[in-house]
Amino acid sequence: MPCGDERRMAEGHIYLFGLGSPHGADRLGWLAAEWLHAALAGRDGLTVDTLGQPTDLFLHPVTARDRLLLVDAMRGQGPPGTVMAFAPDALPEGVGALSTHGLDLASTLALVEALGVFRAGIRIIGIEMPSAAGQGAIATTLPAPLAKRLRTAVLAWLDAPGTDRARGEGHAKA
Amino acid sequence: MNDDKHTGRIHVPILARVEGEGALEVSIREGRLEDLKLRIFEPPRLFEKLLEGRSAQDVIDSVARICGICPVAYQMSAVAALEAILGITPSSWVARMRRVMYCGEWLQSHSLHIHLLAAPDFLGFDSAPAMATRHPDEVRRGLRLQGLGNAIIRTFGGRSVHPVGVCPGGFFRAPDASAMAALRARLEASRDESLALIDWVAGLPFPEDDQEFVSVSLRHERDYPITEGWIVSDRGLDIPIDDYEQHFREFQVPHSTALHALLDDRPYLVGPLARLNNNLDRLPAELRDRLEATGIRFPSRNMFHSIIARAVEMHLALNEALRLTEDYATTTAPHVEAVPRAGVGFGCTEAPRGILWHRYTLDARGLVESARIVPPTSQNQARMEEDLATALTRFGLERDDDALRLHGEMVIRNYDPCISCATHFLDFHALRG
Repeated sequence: MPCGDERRMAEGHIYLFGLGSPHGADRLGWLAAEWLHAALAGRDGLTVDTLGQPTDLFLHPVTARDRLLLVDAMRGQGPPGTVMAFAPDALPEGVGALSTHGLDLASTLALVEALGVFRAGIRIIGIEMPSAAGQGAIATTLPAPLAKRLRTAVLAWLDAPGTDRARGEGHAKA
Repeated sequence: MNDDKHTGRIHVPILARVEGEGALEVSIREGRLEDLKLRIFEPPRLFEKLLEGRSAQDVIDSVARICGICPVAYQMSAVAALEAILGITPSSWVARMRRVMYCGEWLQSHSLHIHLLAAPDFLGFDSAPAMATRHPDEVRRGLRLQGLGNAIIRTFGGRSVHPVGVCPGGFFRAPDASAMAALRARLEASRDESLALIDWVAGLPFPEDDQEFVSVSLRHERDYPITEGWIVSDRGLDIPIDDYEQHFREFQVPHSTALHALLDDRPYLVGPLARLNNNLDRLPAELRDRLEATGIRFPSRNMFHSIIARAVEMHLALNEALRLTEDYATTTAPHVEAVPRAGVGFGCTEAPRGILWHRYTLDARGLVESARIVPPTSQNQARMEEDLATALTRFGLERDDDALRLHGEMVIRNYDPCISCATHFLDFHALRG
């Protein structure tokens, strides 16, 4: 029987990363990952983690057979708490640009493409952050309605493998 | 037209694969370089003025915001200057762990530059993703090493970008032993990778580009300089950091929002190549032997050997992080309390791009009365222009504009300039009637 690493290499693995930091409006990605880590506990073939920078995903033994789901704060896509899912080539401005330094999300995804990893699927889920004017201050835990929308979006992707490879698929609102 | 009498202008409107916004303008008349300007047009950020009236902790957290690539360097130069005023001598534990945290920054910053910014130039690719299709293993190795650097910073600072763990007297909290053990295991597993990186980088095709320049860096009585030391040059300068302003002159030029700097009225180099040139004897013997085995001799006058210096420093940083945490024990007293007092203090550490010098004046409440920050990129600006003039002339001014443009960009990227860091100040004069 293959060991965990061998099985992971053979069958592919799912990586779910929250992007951001532990403080400020940018913490939404980490809050989401922490909540999803608990909510999806026990699910096989899934790693949930937080990343300070998108390129840190390469610290994991990622392969071409794996799938990637990134959760990040976004701005300018709707009211605070809006959850939207994007294909990698359909990222609007303001998604993936809030938590990155050095190499941003778009550049990291270009490297992912060039290196041929995550061929089994990539999705980016954006969560609209509170406005700069201070409406809807960032909580230290994910609000229940937002958690519900996030769970719906994540499960829709997790349970439908292979649906997001087609380019130009655009985005879907949860 | 005779190629020897080439006349024209090369204009690179926006420099790619550097941090911040700058441009290059070159004028050639009858085959000779008539004018060359590295234009920095990113707006000034006025950080020094923003720090006035702030507390020591505010300074440490604020200066980290100057740069997303080297926030630790800013924090470490600042905290050294502030502790000098506050009369704090960090404990041995704090001094060692600050060096470890700084090693994380060297790892991530150098790896980013080597793999994603500079190596594509040497290998003839126009971008890192393009290079990744042909050199996937090397790029993935580089990304892993960069990620390890980020992991070190996050261990001490809570996050790798703009970390928040440093305070006067030490750290807010000490990493627990299990977190350190997990980090050490990852570092240990990458030791061979950072060693292999030196050989890979040394095998890149380097242009012949020996030049005369002055190497300026820190020097430490025992260690390869990172968090402390005095300032030296390979031309005999040997001064305490407090005397920086007596020897180095910063000034504004019309074409740049970042200040230029001269040492005894000459451009000078700071950064990995200058550091290695001045501190070969501070490398561990086995690393020095490994470097010698590459066949590339240091001290080097070839500016493009900076990338080798970065790879050597990455391995050094990884090994230092392991050495300094070998018998790691957490502490319940990661900092000593700071009592506000007035005074002037200086801090200078080796940022990935070179010496980063700070001076603060605090009042009796411990609030900043004045601040001065001299980042490495502004110190290298005059040297970059000098290098560009030499390198482009040697490359051949008769070459077509695209070739000159590409070579000019390669020369600039070789310094890993952080323009955003450099534009923190603007000399302002009001003319009043």
